[in-house]
Amino acid sequence: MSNRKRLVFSGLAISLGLLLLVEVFVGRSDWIWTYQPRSNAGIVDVLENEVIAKAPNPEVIALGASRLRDGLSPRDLESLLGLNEGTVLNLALTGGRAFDSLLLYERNREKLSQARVAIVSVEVDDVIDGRAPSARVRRFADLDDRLAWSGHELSLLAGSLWRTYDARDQIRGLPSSIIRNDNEAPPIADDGRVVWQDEVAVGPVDLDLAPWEDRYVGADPGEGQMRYLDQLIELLQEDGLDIWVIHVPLRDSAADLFEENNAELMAHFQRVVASLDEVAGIDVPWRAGNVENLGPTGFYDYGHPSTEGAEILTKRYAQLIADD
Amino acid sequence: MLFNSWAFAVFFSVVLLLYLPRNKHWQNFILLAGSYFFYGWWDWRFLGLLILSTVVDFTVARQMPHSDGKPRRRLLMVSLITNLGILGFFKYFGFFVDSATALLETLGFGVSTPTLSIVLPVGISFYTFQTMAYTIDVYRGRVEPTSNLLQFAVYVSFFPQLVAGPIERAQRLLPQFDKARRATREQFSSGAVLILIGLVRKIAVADVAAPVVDEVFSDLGAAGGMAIAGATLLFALQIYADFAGYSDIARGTARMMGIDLMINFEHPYFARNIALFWRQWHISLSTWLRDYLYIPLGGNRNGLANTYRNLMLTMLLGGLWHGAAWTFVVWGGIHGLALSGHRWMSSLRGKSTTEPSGSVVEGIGAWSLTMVVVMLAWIFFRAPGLGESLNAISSMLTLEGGFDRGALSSFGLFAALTGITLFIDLPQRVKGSHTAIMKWPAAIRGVSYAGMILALVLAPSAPNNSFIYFQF
Repeated sequence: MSNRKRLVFSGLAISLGLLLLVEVFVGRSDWIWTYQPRSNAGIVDVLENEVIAKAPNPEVIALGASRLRDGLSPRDLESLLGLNEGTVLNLALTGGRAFDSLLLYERNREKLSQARVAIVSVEVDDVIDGRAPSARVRRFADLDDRLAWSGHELSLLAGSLWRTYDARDQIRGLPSSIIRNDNEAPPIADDGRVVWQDEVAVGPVDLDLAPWEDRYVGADPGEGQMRYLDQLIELLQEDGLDIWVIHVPLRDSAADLFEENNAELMAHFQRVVASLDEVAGIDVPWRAGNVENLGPTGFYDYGHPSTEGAEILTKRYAQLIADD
Repeated sequence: MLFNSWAFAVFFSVVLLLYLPRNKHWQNFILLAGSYFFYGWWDWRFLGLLILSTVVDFTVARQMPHSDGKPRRRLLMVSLITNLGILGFFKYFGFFVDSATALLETLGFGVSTPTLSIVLPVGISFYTFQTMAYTIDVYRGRVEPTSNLLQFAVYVSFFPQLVAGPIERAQRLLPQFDKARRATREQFSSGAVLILIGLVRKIAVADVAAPVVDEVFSDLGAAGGMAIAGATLLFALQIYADFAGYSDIARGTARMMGIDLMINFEHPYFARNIALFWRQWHISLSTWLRDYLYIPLGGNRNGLANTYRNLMLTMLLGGLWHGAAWTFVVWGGIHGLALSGHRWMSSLRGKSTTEPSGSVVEGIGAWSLTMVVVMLAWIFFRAPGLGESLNAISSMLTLEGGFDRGALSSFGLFAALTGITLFIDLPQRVKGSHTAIMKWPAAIRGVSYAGMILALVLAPSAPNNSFIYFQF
């Protein structure tokens, strides 16, 4: 090998070696995902270690999105249904989609399958094709999942080989996480809900919806994540759980806005959810106006329940389960 | 399809695999098919314009050697009318209608004008200028017309430089398609390094600066003077990194296929006068304007007054080339004035316009003055309107709002991104080579490559990561 070639080769080798070191000790290590418990990826470990592992055998489990995370108070539901403390587990996640609900259930099936009832929330986002995958997808998706998404997000395929690429948001967030020391206290409230931000007891009567005007603009109605929901329902049925598929209602003005801007998508969502009634109980009031006593103050934004909203919705879910 | 996307990575890999081991006809066919696919990825409907431009200019140029005098001029006019017609309709129709309406309304005539929503085809300003240069050069007898439509079609549509240049001349590029290309190992590796450098410029500098710039310039009225100053500096860095990054990637991809594209940027922010700046900034456009506009207008041949007029006209039209808005015209006007002023000063001192200043102190003063002019002009280039631009300058001069937190973070970000840019530019400038990094010791090179790749991975994703010059 000539000196010139050796020089070119050695530079390349050093570069690849360094990248490989980062890949092995960062990209492919679990700590990079778990160090930030308040990240979308790290919260999975918090739920598994702090909630599921410490809970007695569960009676009711709730899986789904952040609006259910805020809208169902486990301690209240236990007291309304006369269950022992700690037997209702709210495992709904920020940005939680059917993929995440299935993921959590599959990973903790042995414990969670002991429950009698599963409440699974669905969102309009679950029936949209091509939305950017979350950090949890980056962390947990297998090749099959990635291939299914690759039509919309080609980089998922790169991430299956080069995990450093998948973990880039986590790596970038690491310095500030270390400075904030935010892995000290797990974000679980006394009532068993995951706390993602300061609690809002009573939401505002009037709300400027401008930040959500474009929420579904350009969204393609489609199969979205429904295949994951179908798989989850299949597993839950196999394990003998009663299943309630619910949609946490939206603030009335937000429901109006979404219907006005995205009529086709909203109609598609309603059709998809209605088609599940053969395999699960369905509770899709869609908007607050269809739920007794639930007004605008029941939400701190377009559709995340405030404490007041959570109380009303928890009663509703208790009633559904009791009537069943 | 953006250079900074995974889709392009897959596309280029496939094209390269099909292209490398073949003969020239196959290579040209692959390049043409790939280029049309690349262009059609945005909007296949505009492929028709690209093909129209290609066929008209090929046919016209083929006829030119057989004609003389008026018929020859008529052939040239067919080419110019076709290309400028396409450009005028798609790029300037709305602008001229709006401007005429505003003028008539100012004069007290209420007029109703047609409203047409015209989509601007990406890259139209670049490929029309490139193909027009070909017919003009054939008309002038400087280039032999090609008889090979496939080669000419590849020359017009060559995907690495199709949508944002460099605007190549037929003399340089066309002969390269007339032979089989085998990229040497050096070409291949230096091409890859250029792509890496270009991606770092784009993803780790331009796209990081963009959100801060967008926030300030979207509401200039709410921003303080120092915040605007910080955002202007960031924009100067952003547009350089964005466009030079694009050019590096274009040159790198072409080089990996054994094709050499011209250098489009030579570290313009090191320029010590405005004439040098224009020899180092968007070189393919500035030389195009010089050869096909400034010199035909008379250049510097007919006295100082005419030279200044020609300079101003060239720069005003150069500004308008960037976009159909008065802000771009003013941007060009500022540069025209600065170039005229510099020429006048140089003539007083009996120096050439591109001769750098003598002493260090003089050099620093000249560089500072050049940068002030360039930054001032960038405000008009980036702001949504003339009124906003003037208000922004007024806020900056009065230091309205003081040195608040937003301004502080803008300046902090500017310092960090300048650091990355200097890491790339300084060695290039010192060694006089855009791939100077390849000559570094292996260990330093290895660490640098790895660091650059990690910078690409860790840079925050930009909400809009398109290249700025695609809109022109």
